[in-house]
Amino acid sequence: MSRSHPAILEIDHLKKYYPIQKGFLRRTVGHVKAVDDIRLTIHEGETFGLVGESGCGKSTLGRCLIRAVEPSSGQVAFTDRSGERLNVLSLDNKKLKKLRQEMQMVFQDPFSSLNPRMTVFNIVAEPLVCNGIARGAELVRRVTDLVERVGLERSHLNRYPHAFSGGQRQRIGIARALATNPRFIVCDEAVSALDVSVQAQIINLLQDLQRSLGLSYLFISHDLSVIEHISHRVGVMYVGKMAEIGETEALFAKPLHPYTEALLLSKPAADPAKRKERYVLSGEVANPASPPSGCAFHPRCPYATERCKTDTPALVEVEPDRYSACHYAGELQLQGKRQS
Amino acid sequence: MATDESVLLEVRDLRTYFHLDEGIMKAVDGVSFELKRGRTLGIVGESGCGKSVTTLSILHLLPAFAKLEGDILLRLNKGERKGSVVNLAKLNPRGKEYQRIRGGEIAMIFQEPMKAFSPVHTIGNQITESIRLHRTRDKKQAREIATELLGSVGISNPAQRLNEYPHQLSGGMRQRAMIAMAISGLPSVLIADEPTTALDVTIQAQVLRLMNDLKAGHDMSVIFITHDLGVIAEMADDVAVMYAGKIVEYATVEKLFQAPAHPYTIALMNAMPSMNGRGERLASIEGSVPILMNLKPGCPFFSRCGHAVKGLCDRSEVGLTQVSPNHWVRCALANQTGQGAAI
Repeated sequence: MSRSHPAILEIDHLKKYYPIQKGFLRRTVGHVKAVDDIRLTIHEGETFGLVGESGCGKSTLGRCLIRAVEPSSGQVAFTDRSGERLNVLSLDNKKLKKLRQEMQMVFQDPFSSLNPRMTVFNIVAEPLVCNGIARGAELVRRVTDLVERVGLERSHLNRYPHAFSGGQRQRIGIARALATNPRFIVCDEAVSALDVSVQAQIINLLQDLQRSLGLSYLFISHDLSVIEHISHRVGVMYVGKMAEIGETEALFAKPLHPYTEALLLSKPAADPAKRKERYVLSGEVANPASPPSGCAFHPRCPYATERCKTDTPALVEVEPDRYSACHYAGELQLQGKRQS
Repeated sequence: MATDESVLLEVRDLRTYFHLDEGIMKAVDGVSFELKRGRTLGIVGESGCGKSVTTLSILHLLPAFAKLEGDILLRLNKGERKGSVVNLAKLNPRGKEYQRIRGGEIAMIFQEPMKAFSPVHTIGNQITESIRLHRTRDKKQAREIATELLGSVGISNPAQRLNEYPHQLSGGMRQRAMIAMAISGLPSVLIADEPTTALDVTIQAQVLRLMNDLKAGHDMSVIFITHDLGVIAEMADDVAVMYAGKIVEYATVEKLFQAPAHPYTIALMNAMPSMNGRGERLASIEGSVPILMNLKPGCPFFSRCGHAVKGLCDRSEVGLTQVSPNHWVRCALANQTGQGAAI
């Protein structure tokens, strides 16, 4: 999947710093480094899973890519339908609007991401109307198609969001994202608010759509088992930085960063016989406003040495297609996922 | 229960109905279980299955339009009547006796400590309030106990933390403070309602370990509510799987994971992404959880069940069948051989 397919999105040294202002004069006294120097390539037809704990910057990264949040610096190159490579961050508003037809987003909370005063028809039609893609009978036809494609019925079109369950609302959100015929979708915790049985329906839907429409996803989640299931490649974020990137299977079987190992082993295995092997990482997620010196993970890392306190490790290719930001990436023997 | 000393809490045919304008919502419909000393009972189910209402009914923290029927038998663990059994369902929910039981005999931890704590009182004030209600009237002594408790749940610098407000603590620390408050009245039963759902996975592991340590150290029994089967496997001794206000399967944790027998339990396990190969289609359960109003007769899982038999499952109410020792299933297709619905 990785290198054989052309890149759709290339991210280079992307940063998003939020200033911390204090005092009467609102002087900037520091920065929250929400996204700190991220390099990443997403390929056509690929699902790139982004995993990390709350506050690690994964949502900010996703929003920076479609410029829902304005990044501080860096480069984002998007290859559009015609094969032209566009610099997303330097586009003017008109071109950006056109580009956003190809880049869409599905949000976490299906209750707050749909306008309660609009009918399903109006919600799904809005992107088509705004972009002047369709109107009249054509609009009705396209909206009906979209709604049926995500597993809802024609009779649902005139209802309001409150009449639907969480899973159905998420389907409406997906239909809206698909309206402009995008090629790349940021799914920001798109299944996290759903119950397991409904979550499985939505994951299946996203995978079916990917196959039939050739979509690329940036799939953001804190849930490791969802990430493992849906992603071709995975990036693990910790306090604004990428800790590890690799192909899903390899990364889950043999992590190259101690933080990835900690995530994999902290997750309870659905097997009562595995109870004794519980692994508990000490400490809390570092504060992105004042991250620890050196490697941000060093205060919690069981393998940390003096060097980790001062030297910030760079993300380097340790093995083919495996990147890790740990000084000891190749040397440590880290445990993979607990089998269940 | 009067004879079996090891049973601390027994719930018998609990029915909590909400009388709404639209009709009667049967949030909890005939739930029975027992909690033994030193054990953890896990209640698992999807949102709206009645797992939270079940535990709120035990403490009678219900709105005025809720009507509660059935028996909730609690063996008192302290006071003059230690060892005797009271029926909480018959007690006045606003009475002194109930007040003593809430926090003193049965305590509760909620999912979102930010909502469960008062935002305008310090952590210290809120914990000492509970200590002064249940343990000592002396202010200074209560504060000492509170400091010690905060330290015991792994909060660093506890004396200073007592003076802080809930918003000044991180999510994990807040949940620890909530646990400290819950155990401050030395309860014999601790109810934890999705205590780690809002926490990150590494913090969740810390809190789960803390709860197990405290359970052993304080000789408590725990009712643990969650939607996460992984957490159930990690924490519970016995498990009740709930669906549409009813317990559909009740077993020891080993049995439940080795030989799940109810089609809903099996479907729930199969829907977990970790149970499926990468990229494969997940075995989802079609449809959604029914609204607990004006339910049709028969099994509530009928419309979503892959094994449902027309004319059998949708006729009359399905009772619990014992399929093996310590393993009950509410399925019309369950037979006595332990194979459940022969799946």
